[in-house]
Amino acid sequence: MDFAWSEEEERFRSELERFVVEHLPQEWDRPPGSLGSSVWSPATGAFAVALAQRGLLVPSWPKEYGGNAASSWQQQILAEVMWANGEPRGPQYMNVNWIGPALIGFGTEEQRDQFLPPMAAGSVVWCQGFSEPDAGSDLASIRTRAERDGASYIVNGRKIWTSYADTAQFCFLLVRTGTEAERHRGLTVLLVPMETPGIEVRKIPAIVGDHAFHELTFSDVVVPESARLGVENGGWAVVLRALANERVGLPRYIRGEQVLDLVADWAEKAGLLEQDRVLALLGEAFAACEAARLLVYRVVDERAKGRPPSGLANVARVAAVEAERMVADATVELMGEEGMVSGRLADVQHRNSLAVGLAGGTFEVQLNLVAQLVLDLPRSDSGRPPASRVDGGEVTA
Amino acid sequence: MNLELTDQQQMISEGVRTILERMAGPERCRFLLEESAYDTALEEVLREQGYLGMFSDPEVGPLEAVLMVEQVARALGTVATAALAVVAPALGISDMHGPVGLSLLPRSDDSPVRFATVSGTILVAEQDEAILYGVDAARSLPSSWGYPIAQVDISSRRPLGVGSADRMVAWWRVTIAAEIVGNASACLDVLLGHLKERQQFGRSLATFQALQHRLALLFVQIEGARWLAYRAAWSGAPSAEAALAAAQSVAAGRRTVRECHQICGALGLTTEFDLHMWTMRIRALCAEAGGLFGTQVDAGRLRWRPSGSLAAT
Repeated sequence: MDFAWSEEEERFRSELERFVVEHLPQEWDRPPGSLGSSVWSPATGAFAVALAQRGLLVPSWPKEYGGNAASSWQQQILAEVMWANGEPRGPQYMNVNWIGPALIGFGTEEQRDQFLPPMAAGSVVWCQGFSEPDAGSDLASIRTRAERDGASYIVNGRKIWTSYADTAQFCFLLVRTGTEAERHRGLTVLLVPMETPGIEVRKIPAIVGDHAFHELTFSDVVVPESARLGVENGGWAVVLRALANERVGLPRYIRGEQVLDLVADWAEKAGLLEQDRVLALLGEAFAACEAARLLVYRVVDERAKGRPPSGLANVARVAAVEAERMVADATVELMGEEGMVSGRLADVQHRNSLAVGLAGGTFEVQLNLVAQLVLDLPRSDSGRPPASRVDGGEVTA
Repeated sequence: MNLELTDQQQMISEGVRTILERMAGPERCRFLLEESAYDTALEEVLREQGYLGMFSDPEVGPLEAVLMVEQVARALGTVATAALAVVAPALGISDMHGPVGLSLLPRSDDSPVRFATVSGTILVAEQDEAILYGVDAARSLPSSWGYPIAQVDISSRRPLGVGSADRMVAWWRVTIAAEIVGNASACLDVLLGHLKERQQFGRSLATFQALQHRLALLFVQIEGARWLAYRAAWSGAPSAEAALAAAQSVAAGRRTVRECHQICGALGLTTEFDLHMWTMRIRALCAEAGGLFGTQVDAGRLRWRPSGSLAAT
């Protein structure tokens, strides 16, 4: 057992930190508790391009696609440094973590040539069209249909909770090509330009800060067969593979600890930091964040050793959600009325914390998977087969 | 980083497990409880095989000692491994024998001390220094909390140097975390066995999602405590790391006790069922070295107010 970073890893972290200092736009002052938002797109877009130029946007990808096969620990360090700075990559995490890898795994040569270079350059935004009004955790029940029409598909249906749909150029769209009874065996992934006629984007106002959800309506949208990723009715394998790549935990603990530092600053100025009650609330949440950190590191360690993904990722996710909620609750508790003013720390942290158990697959699904994969309990009668949503979702910071 | 046991750590684990399978476990614990006795025989075997001397051994180290403490707790060993193998060596005292009690101020002359029944010594974290007290007489008190417990009359007093109190509390907290994790892991095994065996409403309790989710949450909390305890031991028990490990493990321990007894139903309240031997010990451990509030205050203080004095000392 060894909890130390290697010298090389420390160097990598310092290099990244220097890069961030040099390239973070001056106006960048996103509160650490906030979810991603396209409000920040001009800044995140420029930052992603700069990161790409330095070879740091897709370091985990194979060299032939613009990456440099970075280690799992380097990927985690990259994520930590980005999160410590408000995640200035904006929506790029989707391309980097799983849309790109899914294309590498399932794309035709033409698809890879067309889509991967702009992703590696940080110049394109994708969104994820998975959830529907009647299909959330039970992803295999989606109804958006793609009917064959010669060499094209005609897509009709609705997708919902889609982040970044207002700025995305492409949608990674999961559609039904088989019957509903076939469930996950009747699904296909299409790579759809958002400017295709028949796609309508509606913004859904929400209470989670400047993050916006969207509903997408597809009305007779024509998509060429060449935009299909993988085989027809083989979409489930693509989804599972894509989402497996997203399973290494996001460093939410970084954000949680930053918020606690800010609350402690606030408490100090308010003359409250000497109180045991205050220190205990902060200490409890800090312990939860550090526990989540180590459980995420366990997943990275597993991945670094080339082990097949296990339920450890779900364990880490559960811990991270619990920690972030605890941070929010401590913040609200300590700041009182002061935290109710719009934009104050407690306001931002509380509202965003409402989404943490939903983002990237619900908390309940994570708990199902811990029970089944780690504790070896049988599938419960009340749930669909757990493979219906290994991970993933639309709301991600 | 490497977040798995090394080959050497695995070997040590297997060695300890072999001894514990033979000499510890619920039956042995039950017998000792009835007698309010300490397991001198187990202590001697652990010592002979070198498992109590790992802390200061350059070939092994504190983390290995803490892993051993966790294992002994999991197997319901009735030996003061935390004090003998970790806390005393951390204070420069090697070669202690017999049960050693650990205690904190404020205490009065008749404050009971865990593991003080036939104790020759207790270690007390006082204002600045840890003090090693010789014990003249011990009056054993009835208790069903899983450990021999007694009031003591003190004979000698040996201060262990400025700063030793903080060091004592830090390592004590690391062992508390490890012991809670060991006990709680055993509880989870009991709980899982119960869920899989028991049928209600025509199906196994293990298939109820409401119960699965509670077990999953419990498991995650215990695992968090486990890794915080390991990291604290690995890094030499800085007070901040020790407080975090203790805060998380005490929270996990308290939840473990509640959930296990709730889910195991009335069966769990009987002495025939083994569960209580672990849960009573967990609850005892959770109340020591500052308890939940004290460890949380210190976890906060050590990050944001490091100049203040610890709640525990």
